[in-house]
Parts: sequence; structure tokens; C-alpha cells
Amino acid sequence: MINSRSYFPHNLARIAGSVLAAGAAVGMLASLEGCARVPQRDREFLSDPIMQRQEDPMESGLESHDMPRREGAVGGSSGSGGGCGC
Amino acid sequence: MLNSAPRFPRAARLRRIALWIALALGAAQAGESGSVLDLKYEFFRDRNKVWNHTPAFSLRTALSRVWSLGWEQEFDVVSGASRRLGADKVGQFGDRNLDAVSGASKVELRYSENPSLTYSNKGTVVSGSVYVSRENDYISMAPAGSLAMDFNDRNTTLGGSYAEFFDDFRPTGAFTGMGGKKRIRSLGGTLAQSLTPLTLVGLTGTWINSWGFLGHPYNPPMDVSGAMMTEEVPNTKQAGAVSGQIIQGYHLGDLLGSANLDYRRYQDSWGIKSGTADFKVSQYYSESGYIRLRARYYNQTGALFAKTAYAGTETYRTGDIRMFPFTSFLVGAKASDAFPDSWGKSAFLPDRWDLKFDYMLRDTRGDKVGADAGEPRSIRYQLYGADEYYLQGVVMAGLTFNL
Repeated sequence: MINSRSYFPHNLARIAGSVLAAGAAVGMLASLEGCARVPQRDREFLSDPIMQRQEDPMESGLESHDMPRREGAVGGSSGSGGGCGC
Repeated sequence: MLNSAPRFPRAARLRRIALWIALALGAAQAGESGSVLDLKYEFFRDRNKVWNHTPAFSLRTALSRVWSLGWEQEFDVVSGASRRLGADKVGQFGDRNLDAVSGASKVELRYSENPSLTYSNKGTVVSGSVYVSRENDYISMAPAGSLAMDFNDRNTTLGGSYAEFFDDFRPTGAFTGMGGKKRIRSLGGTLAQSLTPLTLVGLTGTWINSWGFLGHPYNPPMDVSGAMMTEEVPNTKQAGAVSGQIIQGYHLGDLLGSANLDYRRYQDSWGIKSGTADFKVSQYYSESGYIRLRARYYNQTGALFAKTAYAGTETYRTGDIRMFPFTSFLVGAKASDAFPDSWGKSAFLPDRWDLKFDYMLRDTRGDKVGADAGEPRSIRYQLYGADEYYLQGVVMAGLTFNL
């Protein structure tokens, strides 16, 4: 069988480009740290559930597993394997 | 070799489930204070009356000041599983409710466990877990680990994650022998930064490398005459995804609210690109209760080798609906609140409840492409016409116990 590495090399270059762009963005974001320092006494709202990156981790976990198969999508969530119930 | 018959009698399966729950509750009672039990019940139903019941629980219990144990348990009972072929089992007129994605028609059970051990001390969190999932035709096992560190006076969090899936797909019925083993290696990195007392931003990058049997033979491709053919897909796939997130808080009077925008780009070596925009607005209506409104948009292109009909000479061919372009929209609402203190405090009384409803609309643009090209209609969209939509609703109810 033909290996997809040789079959779609241009896509690999694009993926690598995306990852490099992400790395650059991470670097830019990290450089903000010097001017973005919120004191502990002012972090009350940042610790509230509705200010979290995952407001309800269990709900997010169920969705990242279930959504791809219900939607029939490949890249819509972080779920990457683990069976589908389908 | 797996077959379609249940591998465990139903009574034995229920006893195992009860034992897991008893052990989990026992561990929570034995552990230090700080144990939390989340119960969720999810119900899904689509336009074709395919349904899915998913009861699940998540238990986190503190073993010491820095160590904690987690256990996530999930059960799926689905009515569209493991597609079969036969005059009475194919198509929307076959007296069977078929899943629109998999084309499957059987009622089956899937169950998964995910025990985890976490070390958390002074802004450093290290976690390891082992995920195991079993269903009639699919077994998956995935060890995983993650590390996250806070620095810059806890304003910056840098994290990394690793997971390796060992999957085994054993199709049944007319598709017996068409599966195989699959490995998926996932690497992720995350950076989160608080910019103001009401602003948080995050960036996540994920790299996924898959190899082995990557197909889905339940939806065979078709040739120009409409005859079914064997699916052939590459045996490796590399994928990358980048997502950015911004959470902005605000106040309505004394009550906190937040707007959360998440955008994700995905691309893989089969030629599929996708974009996901997810927007949520949450607003407290009391000291403990809030509502959340959500809108999500998803769009993907098709795999380079995906066609609605094949000549038979192609190296790769697939009829898997997931390999074709489409767009979907989702709107949803969620409410969560604490039970009144007047109920009293007990390990058997929940502290919070939550309820959500999501409604999704998925178009069939992929089939329209084939129809425009004068190709015969593909079996993958046998449920709906080219100008129709696939609709589904999800209800989830949850209870949280602080044990």
C-alpha cells in the first residue's frame, strides 16, 4: 500500500507550517507575561467556573468523545480515538 | 475473535457496574475531604429516531494533600451500531433506524473506564491515566500523561500532554475480517495567560499521528453503476490542530458574566481541513446559579481521494461520510445552580445540578457536490436527499455531590 507520507507531502508541509505558526504565537503570548501580571488578590473572578477554559470538565470530556461521531466530523474536537459506540 | 453476541451476560455486566460504583464511593468515603462525585445522564436523538443513552460518572477523591485519584466511567447504549447488510437492514425503508454517520442499525452497549492519578503541588500538576473502552466490534486502550506548570505569579500556565491509543476494530456481519489494529499517538501543548482580572487567553497545539487500519468499512464506496466496492484508505495519517481561546468577564450589576470564544483549525495529510468557531456566553442570575448560551459553527473540506462514485482504478476510495465536505451549526443552552442550603448536608444529597440542551443541524453539501457532477447518489447519504438536513438534539442532566 502506498504510504500517505509520500502520497500527500504538500499537506505535511502545510501542517508543519501551522504548527510553526502556533509556536510563534505561543512565543508572542509568552512575551506578554511581563506586562500581564494579575495579583493574587485580584484573581477572584478568574477562578470562577464560568471563567475557566473548561467550565465543566466532565461535560467537555463527554462532548469531545461523542461529538465527532454524532457530527461525522474529523477535526472538530480534540478527541482522537477510543471507540465510538457506532 | 469478537462476534455480534454479547461477551458478558447482562446480569454479570450490571453486577460489574454496581461493583465499580460501590468501589468508587468507598474510595471517596475513605479519602480525605475534597472528594467530588459528578453524575451525568446524556440522551441523544436524531431526525431518523436513532437514540443514544449515556449515563456516566466522574469521581475525584483526595488521597493526601497533593495526591488525588480520579475515576471516570461511561456507558453508551446506542440504537445505531455495527451496520449490517441485508434486504431488511439497508436504507431508510428497511424498517430499521440507521445512524446517519455510520449507517448502522443495531442496539449495542459501549462502556469505558478512565482511572487517573494526579499530583498537584505549588502550581505544578502531573497526571497519568489509562483509558479503556469496549464495544461489540471495537476495543481501545490508551495510556496518557500530562504536565502543567504555573509561573509568573500564577498568571501563566504552560502544559503538555501525551496519549497513545491501541485500538482494535473488528467489524461484524457482512464486514467481518475488514478491520484491524490502529495506533494513534497524540501530543499536545497549551499556554494560558491571564491578562487582566477579567481576561484569560489560551493557545493549544495538537499533533496526532495515526497508523494501521484507519478505515471504516461499514460504509462502502460505490462505483458508477451503484455497486458497492471495498474501501481502501492510506494506512498512515498525520494531523495538526491549533486552537485559540479568549475569555472575557464582565459584570451586570453585581453579577459576573463571561464571553468565551474558541477557534480551532485542523488539517491532516489526507487533505481534510476544518475550522470550528465556538462561542459561549455565561451569566450568573444569582449568587450560585448561571445560564449559558452557546453557538457553534463547523466546516470541513473532504479528503483528497473522496468521491461520490469510483471507477474502480483508484488507489484509495471511501464512502465514509466523515471524509466528505460539510457544514454544521449548533445552538444550545445550559443552566446550573446549587441546591438550597435548607436541604441540609449529606453525602447522599447533591450540592449542584445542571441541565443543558444542544441542537445541531448538519447539511448534506457533500452529496450535493456529487449530484451537481452528475454522479449517482452515494450510499453514505442514503437517509436524506441532497438538499435535506440531518438534525439532532442532545439533553444532558447532571448532579454534583461534594462528599
